[in-house]
Amino acid sequence: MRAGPLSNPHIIRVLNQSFIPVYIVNDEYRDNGSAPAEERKELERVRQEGYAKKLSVGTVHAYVLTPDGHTHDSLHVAAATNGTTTLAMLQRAIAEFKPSPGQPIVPPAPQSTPPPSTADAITLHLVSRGDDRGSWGDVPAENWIVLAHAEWLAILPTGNVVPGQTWEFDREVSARILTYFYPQTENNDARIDRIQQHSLTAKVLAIKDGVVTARVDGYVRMQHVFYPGRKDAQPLGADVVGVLTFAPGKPPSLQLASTQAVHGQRPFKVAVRTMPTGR
Amino acid sequence: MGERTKRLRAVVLGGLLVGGVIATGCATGGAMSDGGVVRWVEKAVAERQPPPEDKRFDEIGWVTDIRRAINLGKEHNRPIFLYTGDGRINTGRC
Repeated sequence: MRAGPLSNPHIIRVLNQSFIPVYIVNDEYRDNGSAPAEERKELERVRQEGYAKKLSVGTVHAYVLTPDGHTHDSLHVAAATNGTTTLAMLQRAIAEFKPSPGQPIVPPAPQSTPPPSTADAITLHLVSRGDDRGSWGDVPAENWIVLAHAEWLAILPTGNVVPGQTWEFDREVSARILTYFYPQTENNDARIDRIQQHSLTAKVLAIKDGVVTARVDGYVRMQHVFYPGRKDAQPLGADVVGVLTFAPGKPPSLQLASTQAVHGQRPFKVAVRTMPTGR
Repeated sequence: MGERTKRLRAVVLGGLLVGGVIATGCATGGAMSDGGVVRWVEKAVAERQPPPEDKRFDEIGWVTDIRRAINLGKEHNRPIFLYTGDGRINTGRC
């Protein structure tokens, strides 16, 4: 859906000019989800109204609601991924409700943003993408990994640092990073107990003006399931190199890139970088 | 060599390559020289950032709360487009 209609410039223009676009994450609206009870009730009302109108109703759906929030039209995702079909639904709503075209009511903004963190934490941004394109390969996957002060301290060496010195990152912290080294899959259960082997080790290359530059080498081997709930996990292996820079007492900067990575038969690439503080 | 044989050979070679990656317990980054690693990593990380064409989703003025969308719909007399999805469409983890 995101790579199809929701990346189509014409549909984007129509949504911005004449609609209030809203997306929700179903997991957050389930019984133990983080959405407020009032929000969950609204989604349930939208679905019940859809049933009453004999519209298509389900979890992965595109709906059009009236300006006062009542269910008006809908498409199952299998139909909505066809841009022509989605556009036709939007045009039917425009003909019915005659909104005055204008600027988007909410200014467009990046939708993948770092989670809140404390001032002394560092935030890593990870991008992972299968080498394939089309379907699952169309949109890169992103994760945000926040390392609290104690966690980033645990990837640094203690005591004096000298060129050539080597050390291994704290294994729990490296697992928290490497567990997201998987390509776009429908299953996004990133529990670290999927990991069978992993390591990130560093070696000091240079020290200049008190700033240490170290190379990082590592790997992860784990089992990862493509579809949620299945038991057919496939082996995943990724080799990694990176660069760590740090000055004593200050938050480090870490960049990692896979050198080769395969999930089952599917090659993929990963990049990790520390986001500037203050983001 | 027939087309089927070529394809079979490609599959076998691919499988061996994949198997090699999975089986080895240690990283291959060690093959990269200390002198070249910083430049390689910086280039790889930069090249792997999502290009603008993969971020068109962000060009839409999204709301992420149904009640707020309804309030805005009433206020501006606009219909509401509601997408309900599994996973997180905003991060591509869906």
